Amino acid sequence: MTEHLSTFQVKQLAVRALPEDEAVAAVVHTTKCPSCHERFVEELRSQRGSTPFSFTLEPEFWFRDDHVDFDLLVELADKTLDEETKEIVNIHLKTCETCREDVRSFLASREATAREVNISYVRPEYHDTHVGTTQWWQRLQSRPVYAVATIVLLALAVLIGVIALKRSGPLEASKQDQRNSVTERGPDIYPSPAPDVASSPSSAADSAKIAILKDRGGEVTIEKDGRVTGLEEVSENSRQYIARAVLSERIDTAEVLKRLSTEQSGLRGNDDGPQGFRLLYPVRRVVTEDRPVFRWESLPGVSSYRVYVLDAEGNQVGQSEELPPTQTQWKAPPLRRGQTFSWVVTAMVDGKKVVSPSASAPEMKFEVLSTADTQELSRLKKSNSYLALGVFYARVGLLNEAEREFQNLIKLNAHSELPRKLLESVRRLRKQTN
Amino acid sequence: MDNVLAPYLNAKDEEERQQHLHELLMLRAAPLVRNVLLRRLGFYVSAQGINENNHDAEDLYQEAMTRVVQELNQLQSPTGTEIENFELYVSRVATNLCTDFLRAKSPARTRLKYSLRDLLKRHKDLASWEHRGELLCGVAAWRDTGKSPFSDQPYEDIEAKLDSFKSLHFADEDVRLAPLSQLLVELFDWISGPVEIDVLVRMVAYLLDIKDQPLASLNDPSLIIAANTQSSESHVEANELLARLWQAVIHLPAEQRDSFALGFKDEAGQDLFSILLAAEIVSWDELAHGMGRSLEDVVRLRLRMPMDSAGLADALGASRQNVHKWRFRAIRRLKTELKG
Repeated sequence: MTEHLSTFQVKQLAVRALPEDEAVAAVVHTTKCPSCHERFVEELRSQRGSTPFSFTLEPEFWFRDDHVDFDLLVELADKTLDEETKEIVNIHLKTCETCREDVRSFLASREATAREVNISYVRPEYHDTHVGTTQWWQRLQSRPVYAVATIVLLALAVLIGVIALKRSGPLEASKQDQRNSVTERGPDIYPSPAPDVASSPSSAADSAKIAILKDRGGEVTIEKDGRVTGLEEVSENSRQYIARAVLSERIDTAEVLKRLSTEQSGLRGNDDGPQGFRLLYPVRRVVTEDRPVFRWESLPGVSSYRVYVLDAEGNQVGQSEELPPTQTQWKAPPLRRGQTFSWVVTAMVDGKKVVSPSASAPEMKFEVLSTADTQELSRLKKSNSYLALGVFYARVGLLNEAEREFQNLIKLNAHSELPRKLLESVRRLRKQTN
Repeated sequence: MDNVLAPYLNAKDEEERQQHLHELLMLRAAPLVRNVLLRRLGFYVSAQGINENNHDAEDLYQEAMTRVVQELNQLQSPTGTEIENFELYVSRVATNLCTDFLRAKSPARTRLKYSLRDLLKRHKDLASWEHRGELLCGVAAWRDTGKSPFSDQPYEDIEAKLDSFKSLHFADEDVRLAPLSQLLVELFDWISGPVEIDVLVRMVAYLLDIKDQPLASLNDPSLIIAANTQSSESHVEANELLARLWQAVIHLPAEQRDSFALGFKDEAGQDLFSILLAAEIVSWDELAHGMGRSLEDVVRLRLRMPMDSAGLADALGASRQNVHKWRFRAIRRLKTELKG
């Protein structure tokens, strides 16, 4: 380009509106033409106007638009991120509430679905990969060489199979039976491997009473094969849990408590705000009521409080009105049973917002007892069994209540070790989860 | 290059080129964009790109068309990217805009999408896969097959059918309490074929009654950012500050220098090269020398500045995570240097 730039070209170059090649040619020209360069610089200045030059090197500014995408969420959940990237993600999360909630929600979803990923809900025909089979066969039609090779391989496999069957027929058949019986059992409802406690008439001969306990409603007997007598009004499901606890002489950690006591992800950033205040109830526990009364410590100098309740996805499901400084409790709106929630209280002190739990503290989670468990509890309360109630409470994560029931059971069975062992087991769990 | 672009690219003069551009936009791109907006978001726009009752829809339509035009303009330069399939390209542009829009407008649904994608990936009976530019999902046995005609029906019809699905498959239990995997399996069984992930998300959100409720902000990011801003009161101070910044930048390792300089924007949103040139801190040749690149490269890079992380990753041929690390290290180093 030997000619001077037109005014329009100069403007286009300044606002980066020239096509690449024209822009390059224009710049090459300005490097040799002081007058055109001067016009270009003037144009840049006039576009900028009088805005003073300022910039920041704060990483929060630099990473504020680098949102956490799906792949990064997966890496976070899988704990495969290196330390530097984790630090960068933390920086972004400090300023991006949406991403904070994305992370929180994703980790909660991982926890909630952790068990079900190994459970099959599909009908058997989907395991047969019927669509895939059709395509596989169709693909062979277009590749005769592969088709011939496949037929030969299939024939070989059949031949080997026939020989093997002749040699070890009964054994294989037995293995097949075992596989079928496993398949037919369906999803395992137990959170951890349980002793086989299914009642079976054929095993009666092997039975032996391993525990006889005095209970509020009479005598309860647990046999070696897991049969429980004396609690006929209690559901089969609950009887199985009772047998399992008695046979193992301990209470397993309730899954819900593992979920609620999950440590913070380390991704919520540091907070340098004023001194916080403690939330008192509910604190990482299960509540039986669907309208729990939230309680928290009072904070000196506070002008008002506000309570927020969030579901596991991070969506706000309840919010109090502005509460006076004298009020340190608030009754939630009805919450969905069987769901995990978290709650946050904000306090205004000298015009500043103090949030509890703070950004760097773990979420304050709780779970509302599910409808099915609430119904079961109501049935068990009528059973007059400390043992049944104790095991139930422990299973659903209500450890205080479980402790109370086992203490009552000890009073009735002063010379039996079993109730004490169950009580100790519950107390150990409390320590672990607190 | 897609053959449908040939007349436009081989036009004899500007008038003919504009004519072909108009045809490409009106006859091919616009119907696709309208279709994607309708299917992904339920947004309708007229053939002229108008919906007086939904400005979001109009904005998205205009944005998609603008991006297509920009890309077509770039095709004329030797460094322009190839478009193998123009219609697929237009669909992707529109789909990405819809995804961004949903993310901004519907965080709860975006979170549900993330959870579903993760579950589809981890559950052995479920799967998601790319098929003709779309992310489809279903039971694992359907992997790599095309979508069922189910998702082509208007979403209002799907919603109406979902009510009967719920009463049929979850008559005795609360669908919201059912395991998510079970719900997905029941849905796929009911649909009888693969479905687009976005359609699945809308269906599950409807069934689980997931709606967006904006959260009250618990902190104020602007406070953190406002602190430690380096600003200049006068023209002389600005030039001194800029000159020091430039000297520090050109002494950074190459990747850190590029990640910082190409992504830099001042508080007014202006890119580093324009600011330096306007302040006459550098000439074009000094700029090229400082960046260790040819003059042509620097001019081309400036056309895309300031770059976001995705743009930087593209320009530097690196992953976004690496770009983040280089930029992070650069900032730490510059902070120390400029304090001294």
